[in-house]
Amino acid sequence: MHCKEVQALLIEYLDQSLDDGIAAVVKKHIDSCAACQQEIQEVQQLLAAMKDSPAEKPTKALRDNFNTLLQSELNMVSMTHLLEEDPADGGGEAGSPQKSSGARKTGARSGGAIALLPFSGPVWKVAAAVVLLVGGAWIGSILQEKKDAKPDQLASLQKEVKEMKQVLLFSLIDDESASQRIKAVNYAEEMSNPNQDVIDALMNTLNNDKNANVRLAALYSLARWADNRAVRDSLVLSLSKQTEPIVQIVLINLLADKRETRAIAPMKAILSDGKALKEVKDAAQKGLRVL
Amino acid sequence: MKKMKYIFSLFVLLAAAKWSQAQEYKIPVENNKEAKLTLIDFNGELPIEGYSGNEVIVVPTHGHFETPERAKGLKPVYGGGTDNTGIGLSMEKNGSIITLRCLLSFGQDASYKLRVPENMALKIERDCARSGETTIQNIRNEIEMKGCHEVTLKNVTGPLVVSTISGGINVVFTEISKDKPIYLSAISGDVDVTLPAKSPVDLEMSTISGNMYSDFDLTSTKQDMHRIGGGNIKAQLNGGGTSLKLRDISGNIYLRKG
Repeated sequence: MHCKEVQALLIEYLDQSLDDGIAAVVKKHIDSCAACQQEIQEVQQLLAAMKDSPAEKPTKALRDNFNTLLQSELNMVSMTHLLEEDPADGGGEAGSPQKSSGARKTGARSGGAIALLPFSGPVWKVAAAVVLLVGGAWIGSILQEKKDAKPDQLASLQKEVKEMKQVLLFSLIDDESASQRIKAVNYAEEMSNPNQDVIDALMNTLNNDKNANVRLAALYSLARWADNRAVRDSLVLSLSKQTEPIVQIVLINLLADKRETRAIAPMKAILSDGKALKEVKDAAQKGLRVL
Repeated sequence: MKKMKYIFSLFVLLAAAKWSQAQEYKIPVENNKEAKLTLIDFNGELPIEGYSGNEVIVVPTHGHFETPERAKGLKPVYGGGTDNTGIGLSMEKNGSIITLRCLLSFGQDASYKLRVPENMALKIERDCARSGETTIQNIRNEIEMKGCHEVTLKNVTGPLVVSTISGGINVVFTEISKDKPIYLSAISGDVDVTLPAKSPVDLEMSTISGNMYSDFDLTSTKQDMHRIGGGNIKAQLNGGGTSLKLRDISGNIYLRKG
């Protein structure tokens, strides 16, 4: 054992609160070490000095001060009692106005206290304060929690809405009613970033729906993503398949507007198609001039 | 002499009434929203009127359907199907879903007038060979029409999905059905729509080479939503609501307050 360790244990050693084994080791070291003997003597002196010093007692003035403070506090409490009792006295004991103020001071203390017991006593005030404090803290914690959760919840809500729209889209896109199918396409229009399934469904509608207006609605919807490579490819492909004249015209205009040179061949095919409507040919001619 | 003339005209009228009665073809059907009537390839002018009854009544207004003397004992035969109505139409009924297909070739001169229960949905397909205006009024359910010539709708509520090619579309709404979209498109004709002034509508209209006119306050919300050339207007009327889209290629669009 080193001196430092021994010296750390000295107080306990003197106090005789060490294990016997450790105490024996410490004793052995102290006996053989002059520095530690010196140290232990100093500690012994210190402890003796502490033991001998008289216990500090509060002066009389402190006691007096405390008593006055207590008395004034008691007076305050009884004053608030009296103030609060007054209205109750007026209402509850209107039939006995002759009651002396002395009787009030003695009797009312208990009588009035009973009448107002539920919410007027200091205990209740403390309780109310505690309730307010705890309640406030609780509400605060809930608000905080909500605030923390908000971005998450909003994101998941938006995701849910998007998924819901997608579900609605797929449930309506094959509906018997053309108006319902247009509604399905409108759902897609509300999506800012549709996935591939949605785009495929719109493409299918554009090329195969029985109703010209449903196809047209799908085209207007798809036009927003015409800069997307895959969508553009499908639109070019669609032009050669398309049978609805109004869709053909709008599609020609769109592809011409986008300077899509791959649309030249299908446009030329439309021009040489004997069955194609005059308006469609006009549009193709204009489109070819642009390209 | 005057009396004689009167009696004679009365007689003629009665005869005419009897003749037309004989030519009427009636199909009993429930007057509700589930009922649906599909008309395919009708020739000539086609006026259709909704009423509060429980029968689809088809009256040929033009054409000859009496069997000639020589054809006695024979049945009329058509390329497109079997005439089970006696007036050149094939009729199929499945519950309250009715399909009437005109079997006459487009060269045959004929036309029909229909009265239908007002709550029935209508679906009409007429290709470009079937010339003549389609006029529909007093229908309180969905009308889906794919035509080629002039289409005129009066006192309808929608939803409407109407497209035509060389004619215009004229619609007078008495009210706008909620929720389901209305979509009208024409190529070379005009689209002319009259809406009740207070209709809550999400409006979108565009024409590629025509003009647009309206007395509604159209403070366009997004001018450049999807530019496919031409004018494109997107606006909310009365706070927005039913989706109403009007599309034209070379015709004008007129949107009026009713």
